Amino acid sequence: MVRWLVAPPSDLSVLDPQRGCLNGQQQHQQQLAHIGYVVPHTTSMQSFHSPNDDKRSRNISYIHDQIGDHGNGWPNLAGTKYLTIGAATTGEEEKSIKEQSDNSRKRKAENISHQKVGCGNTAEDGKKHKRVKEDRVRGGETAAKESPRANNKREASGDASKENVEPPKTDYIHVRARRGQATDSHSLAERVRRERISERMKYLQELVPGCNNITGKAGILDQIINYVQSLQRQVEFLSMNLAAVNPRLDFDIDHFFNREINVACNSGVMPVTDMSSEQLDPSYVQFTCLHPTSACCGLDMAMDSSDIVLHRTMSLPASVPGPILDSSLNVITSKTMFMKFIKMREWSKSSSHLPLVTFKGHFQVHGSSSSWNTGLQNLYGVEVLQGRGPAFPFQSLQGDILPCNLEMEM
Amino acid sequence: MNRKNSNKSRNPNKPTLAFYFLRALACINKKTSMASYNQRSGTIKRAAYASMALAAGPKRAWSRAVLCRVLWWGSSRLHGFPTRRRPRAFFHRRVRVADPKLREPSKADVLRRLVPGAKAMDLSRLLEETAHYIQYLRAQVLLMQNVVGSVSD
Repeated sequence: MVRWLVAPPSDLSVLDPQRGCLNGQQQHQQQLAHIGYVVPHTTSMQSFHSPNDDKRSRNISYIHDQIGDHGNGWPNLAGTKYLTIGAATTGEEEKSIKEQSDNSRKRKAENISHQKVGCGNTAEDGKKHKRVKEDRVRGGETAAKESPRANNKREASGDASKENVEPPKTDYIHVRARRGQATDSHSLAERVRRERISERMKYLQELVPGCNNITGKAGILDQIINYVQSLQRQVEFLSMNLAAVNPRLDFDIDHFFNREINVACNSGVMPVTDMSSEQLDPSYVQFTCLHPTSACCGLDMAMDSSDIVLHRTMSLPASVPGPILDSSLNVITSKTMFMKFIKMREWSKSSSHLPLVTFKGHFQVHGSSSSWNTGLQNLYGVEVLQGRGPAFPFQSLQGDILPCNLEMEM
Repeated sequence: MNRKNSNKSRNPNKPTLAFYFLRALACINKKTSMASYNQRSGTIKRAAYASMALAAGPKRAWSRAVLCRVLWWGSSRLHGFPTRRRPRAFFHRRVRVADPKLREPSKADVLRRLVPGAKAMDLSRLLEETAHYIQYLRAQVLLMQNVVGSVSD
């Protein structure tokens, strides 16, 4: 017994299973917005399905019949009726044949066909379970002939392969109600939404420390709220600390810079200590305060220095700040710097997200805290070094580099 | 592939975070050394949030909201406007609820207030943004702790 349900035009929650399966992928949501809903009247459905293949149009045709005949126009499919969600006329039919069919399929506008809703599906034991499948003619024509068990088995074997093979041309998601559960379209959508929310709550439970033993949404939400509030308070508190110790930053920058440059020298890179001692000048010329165009300011810094020589090791893939940080350890001329910076961009696209991976070449990356410390010292050193020379008019570069920087972060 | 994308976008890029924040710190240190302690701490706090949002990128709603807020602050300060008033109608979408004042704020509403830019979101989206926000907040806090630790050594 198969029931076909058409997605209502206004019920956004119907689209939830897709989002849930994809963990809220943005692109799918956008696709959903573009795909229109199947509206239970002739013209819109036809126009909506015109780009699709013949199979689907056949499905649509019998849905049209069904809408016209209110589910009575299919003598082949004994006992099977087809419904549309949201169509007022067929609302009574849903209830009337709910008992007749053990499983139900729901049609929804879909962006990707190969998804599964309800990760706990067990197709093997023959139970009805909620599934997301692409639309197929087979379901419409042979549904009545199949027994539910055979249906499940065939779906289990065939669906997975078919879903993966066919591209996202299909527009429907088929969801099955679980055994013994309400097969109402609204309750199905509601269940999908609830499953998505519970999946997200589980993920949050892993993130937030100390809520593993708490069950129930309310308790977990409480913990989450407390955690976010405590983190925000910590940020405020630490900013107060930093404001208090800010005047000391200059002194420490010099100290760290000297130390790190000495370490870098030991690794066999061209020594910069003689130059660096002259350049230890924390009076930055080019730094602007955090500003709407701050994204490109960092890149200004990187290119800033005609007489400062910064060298970049070619072997360390890192994000854009990474090579800049790394550059404190080496020395290059400013002319070659531009070329290397362009190469940096390509590397940064394949950057790893390890913290401070750029320092590997010269330091041992121990635990996270120690690597943070060494990294920060290098950061201080870099900023001093780069702030030394006169500013380059890098406006021409900004337009080129800025989008790259942004796209790296995105 | 979809899961890989989501995981990759969720882990905060710590070098980027550190870079933005330290640059901001250096700038603040240079420019506002004469300012009062409170002003400086407020500026540092805003710089922390801004660097966090910059590192997160414009794909998340919370990072967009934070950046809007910071930009508005910056522009208002430049032009001498009072910083208290924010163009709420422009930046925040209003959520129509049944009894906005009468019903007690549920936990989800409290969370919506906490997470920036999450005012007009359904619960599942809100939870997703919260998860992402928590990851970046934690990274930012770690970074600031290390900065304070290294400076005070």
